[in-house]
Amino acid sequence: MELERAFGEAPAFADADGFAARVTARLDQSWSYRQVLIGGLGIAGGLIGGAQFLGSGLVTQLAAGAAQTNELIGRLAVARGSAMSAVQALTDAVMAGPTLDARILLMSVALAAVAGGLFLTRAIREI
Amino acid sequence: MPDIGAARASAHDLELVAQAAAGGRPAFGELVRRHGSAVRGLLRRMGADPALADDIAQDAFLAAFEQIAEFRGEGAFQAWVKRIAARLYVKRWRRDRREDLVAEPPEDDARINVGEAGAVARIDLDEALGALTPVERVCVSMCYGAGMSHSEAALALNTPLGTVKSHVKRGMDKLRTRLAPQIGAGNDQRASGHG
Repeated sequence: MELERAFGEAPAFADADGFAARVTARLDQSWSYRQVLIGGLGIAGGLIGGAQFLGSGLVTQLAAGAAQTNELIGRLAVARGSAMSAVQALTDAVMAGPTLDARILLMSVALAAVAGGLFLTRAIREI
Repeated sequence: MPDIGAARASAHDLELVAQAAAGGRPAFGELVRRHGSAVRGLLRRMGADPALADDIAQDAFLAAFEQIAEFRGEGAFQAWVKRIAARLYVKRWRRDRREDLVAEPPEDDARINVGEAGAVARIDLDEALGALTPVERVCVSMCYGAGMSHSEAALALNTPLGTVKSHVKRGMDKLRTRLAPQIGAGNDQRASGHG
């Protein structure tokens, strides 16, 4: 029993604080190395990713796509303007000529046409 | 404002472990300050020279910091680090010595002489351990110093369980013989103190 107790008694070392300081310093050093390693790997990964991004021509493709989209939107705007002008001319003509019932009928047809045109425009844009 | 250092110094091991597990290196430093001597002492008792004992103790604490999330608090922190240190030392010891752990020591190997033991009035455990063979010393220190079971020691040493048991028994017998006068004196002192 005495012997077992003797094993349990820790010897006292005069440099216990110094030993703890050495271990803490090694911990800090290891932590610093790890941070540098993680940072370095992050930078390397970023550079490789950036190079891949630039090398893939994605920017060029996106620019070309944007130009095509702008062109399409321009065409649609022109088409809508033309349609509206035609409707306006038709409306003026109708208002100047036939009877009231005929005018109402023609205006309904014209509004339906405009609605159809707008639907088509929207459908084309969605596509 | 409370003194953080003083609060840390009075904190329980488990609180410090929790802080260290969250990345608190100062808390772990306090644990090292508390238990460093015990771990270094164990390694010296296992047979490491002071420089090697300090190196392995540092490695053990660094390993403990890395694995601290695995410490469940079921036993004492010191015992946990001691087991890590003992395993690290055994690894190094086996690599360096390449000693056949299975081999039984020769009968006349006993460096301890019973007649001589009686002549030594004051002897401490560290000196007495020097009378054991290296294998006995490692086995005894692992089981009694690091609190490892015979099975754990056998696993760490990659040695049959029966061999470890016989090394421990032989080593403890030698220690008891060697330390008998001191232990008897201690008992006498306590008896007279109580009387």
